[in-house]
Amino acid sequence: METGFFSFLGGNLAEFIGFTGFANVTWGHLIMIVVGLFFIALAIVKRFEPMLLIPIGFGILVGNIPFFPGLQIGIYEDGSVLNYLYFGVLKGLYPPLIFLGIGAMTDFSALISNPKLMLIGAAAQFGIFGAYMIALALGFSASEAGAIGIIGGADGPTAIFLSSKLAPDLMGAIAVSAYSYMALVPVIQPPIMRLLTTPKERLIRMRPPRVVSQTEKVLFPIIGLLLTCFLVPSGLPLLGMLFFGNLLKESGVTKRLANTASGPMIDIVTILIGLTVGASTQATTFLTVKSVGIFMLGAISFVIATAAGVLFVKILNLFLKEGNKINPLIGNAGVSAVPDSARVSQEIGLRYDRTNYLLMHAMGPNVAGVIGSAVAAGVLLGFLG
Amino acid sequence: MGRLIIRKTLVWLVCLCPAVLWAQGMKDIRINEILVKNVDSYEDDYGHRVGWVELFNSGYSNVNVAGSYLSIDFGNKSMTYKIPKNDPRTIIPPQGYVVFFADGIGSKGTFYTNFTLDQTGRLYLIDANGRTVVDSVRYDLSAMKEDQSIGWKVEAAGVDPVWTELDATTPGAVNDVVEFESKAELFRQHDPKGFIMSITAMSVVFLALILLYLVFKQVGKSHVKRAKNKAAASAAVAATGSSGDAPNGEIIAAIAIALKKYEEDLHDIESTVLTINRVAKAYSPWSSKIYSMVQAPERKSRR
Repeated sequence: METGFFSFLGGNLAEFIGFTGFANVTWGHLIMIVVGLFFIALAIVKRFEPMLLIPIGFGILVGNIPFFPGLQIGIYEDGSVLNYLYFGVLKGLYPPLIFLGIGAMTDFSALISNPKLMLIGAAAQFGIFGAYMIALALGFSASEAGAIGIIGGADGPTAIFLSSKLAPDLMGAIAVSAYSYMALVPVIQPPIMRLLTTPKERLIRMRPPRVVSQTEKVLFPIIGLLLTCFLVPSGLPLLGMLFFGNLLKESGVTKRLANTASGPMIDIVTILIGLTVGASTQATTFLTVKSVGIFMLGAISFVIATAAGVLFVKILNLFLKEGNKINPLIGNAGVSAVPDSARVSQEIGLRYDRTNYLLMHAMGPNVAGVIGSAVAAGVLLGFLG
Repeated sequence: MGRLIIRKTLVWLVCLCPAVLWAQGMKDIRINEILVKNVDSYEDDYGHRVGWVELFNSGYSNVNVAGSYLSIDFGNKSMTYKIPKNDPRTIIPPQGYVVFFADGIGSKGTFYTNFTLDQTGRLYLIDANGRTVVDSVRYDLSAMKEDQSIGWKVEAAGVDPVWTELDATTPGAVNDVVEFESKAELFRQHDPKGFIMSITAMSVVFLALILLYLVFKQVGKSHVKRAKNKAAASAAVAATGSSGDAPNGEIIAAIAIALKKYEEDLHDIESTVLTINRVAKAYSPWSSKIYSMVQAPERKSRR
C-alpha cells in the first residue's frame, strides 16, 4: 500500500518536474532571456526608448520561458491567451492604431512652414531600398527582402505591418531589429553625420519657421490623405489612420477623441504590441541564421538612410540661395524615428554652436519620414503583396 | 432652406445605403464551378451522386444568398429554385464557397434544387428581386463528360480566368489546384537585383512628397500673402489717421493703455504667502476607533 502511494507520489513529482521550465530549458531560451534582460537594462539604465524596450524586453522573457508544448501557453499555440493578443500583430491590426495615436500627437507645423523639408523625408527612404537590394543579393526571397528593407524606414509599426503581410515568419526578428536600432539612433547616426558634413556646414543657421495658420493645419491631413492614398492606396491603413489622428488634433473640435487616441489608446496598443512582439521571439523560431542576417541588414539600412538624408540636404543646398540653406545635420531626421533622430540633430548641432537650435527644423523631415516610410511600405506591399 | 436640403439628402442616403450594400453583397457572388454528369464524384448528404453547382463569394464580407434564385430557364418557375431563408448556412463567408446539389427533387433541404443541370445548358443566379441576373453561365450539354466539372480557371498568373473544363473537381474549394509562382517571385525574376523596384518605389515616394510640397508651398504662399495684405491694410489705416468709423491712433493708444492697466491689476499669483504647517492635534474623531466599534450593551442590573 505504502509502496504504491510513494510510487504514485514519485510519478506525479516526476511528471510535474517534466512540465517545469527547468526540464525544458535549452541554450536558446537562456540566450534569449539574456537578450531580454539586456533590453530591459538598456531601457532603465540608459533610458533608450524605455516605452518600447521595457515591453519588448519583458515580452522576450515571457516568450522564452521554457514549457512543455501543447498546453495552450505559448504565443504560437492556437487558443492561448498570448496567441489571441498576438492576433493584432499577425493581422496588422495594432500598427494602424499606433499610427492613429501618432497622428493625434504630431504637430506638422514645422513641415507646413517649410514644405521643402518633406523631400528630406523622401530621400531617407533610400535606406529601405538599399537594404532590399542587399537582402536580394544575400539570397532572401523578394517578399522577405521587402519586409527586411522596411527596417530602414526606422518605423516600428510600419515594419510590423509590412512584415506581417510579406514575411510573417520573420516578423519577430524584423520588429525587434527595427525597435532596437530605433533605440540606438543616438549611437548610430552621429558618426555618419560628422563624417559627411564639413565644420562650416554644421554651423548653418536656418530661418526660424513662420507661424502656421489653423486653416493650414486642418488642410494638411485632408490634402495629405487624398494625395498620398490616391497615389499609393496600399498605404491606406497606415496613412489613413495617421492623417485621421492628425485631423482629430487639428480640427479643434474633437479634443476628447484626440486626447484618447494620443493618450490611453496608443499606450494600450504600445503595451500589447511591445509585449507580443517580444514574446514572438521564442528561441525556437528566433535564433536562426536568417535572424542574424536581418539584424545585420537592419544596421546597414539605418546607415544608408542616415547618409542619404544628410547627402540629400547637401545636394539640395547647391540649389538654394544663401540664407535659405538647410543645415545638413537635420538630414538624419528623415528616418522616421520620431523624435529621437530630430533630437540627435539638435544635440549634434548644439555641440558645434551653442545657440543653433535645430530641433524644430529637424522635426519637419522627421514627420515627413513617417509619411515617406508609410508610402514606401505601401509601394512594397503593392508590388510584392 | 439649406438645412432642409441637407436633411433630405441624409434621409435619402440612409434609405439608399441598405440597397447599395445588398447590391454590393450579391454582386460578389458568382457561379464558380458546376458538374453536370456526376457518376463517381462528390456525394450529397444522402450518399447520392447528382450534378452540383458551386457558388463563390469573391468579396470580403459575409453574403447571405437566402431569398435569391438559381434557375436553368430564366422566367420558368418550374425550373427556378428559390434559396430558402432562415438557414444560417446560406451565409457565404468572405472568399468562401457553398455547393447546391441539382437532383431535381427540391424537397431534401436548403441545398437541393428542383431542377437538374442536364436540361437547358444555361444556369442563372438571380437576385432576391427575381429580376436582376447576378451571374449566368452557358455550357454545351453534348460536350459534358462524366465527372468532368467546368468552372472558372486561371491558366496563367496575371491572366483573367476563363470558363472551361477544370483539371480536377473541387467542390467547396478553390478551382486553381496548380500552384503559380507568387507575385513577389515573378517580380524578382524580372528584377533580380532590385534596381527597378528601388527606382520605381523611390520615384513614388518622392512624387507623393513633392506633390505635398507643391500644394503646401502654394497654400503657404497664399497664407503669407493674405497676412501681408492684412498687415498692409492696418498699416494704411494707422497712417491715414482715420478711415471711416475706425478709431484713430490716440483712441487705440488709450485703449491699449487701459488694457495694460487692467491686465496689471489681474494677477494669478497672490501676494499672500501660503504656508502649510503640520497640525499637532492629539485627538481627532476621524481617527478615533471608538466611533467605528460596536458599542457594548449597557448592563442593567435588577434590583
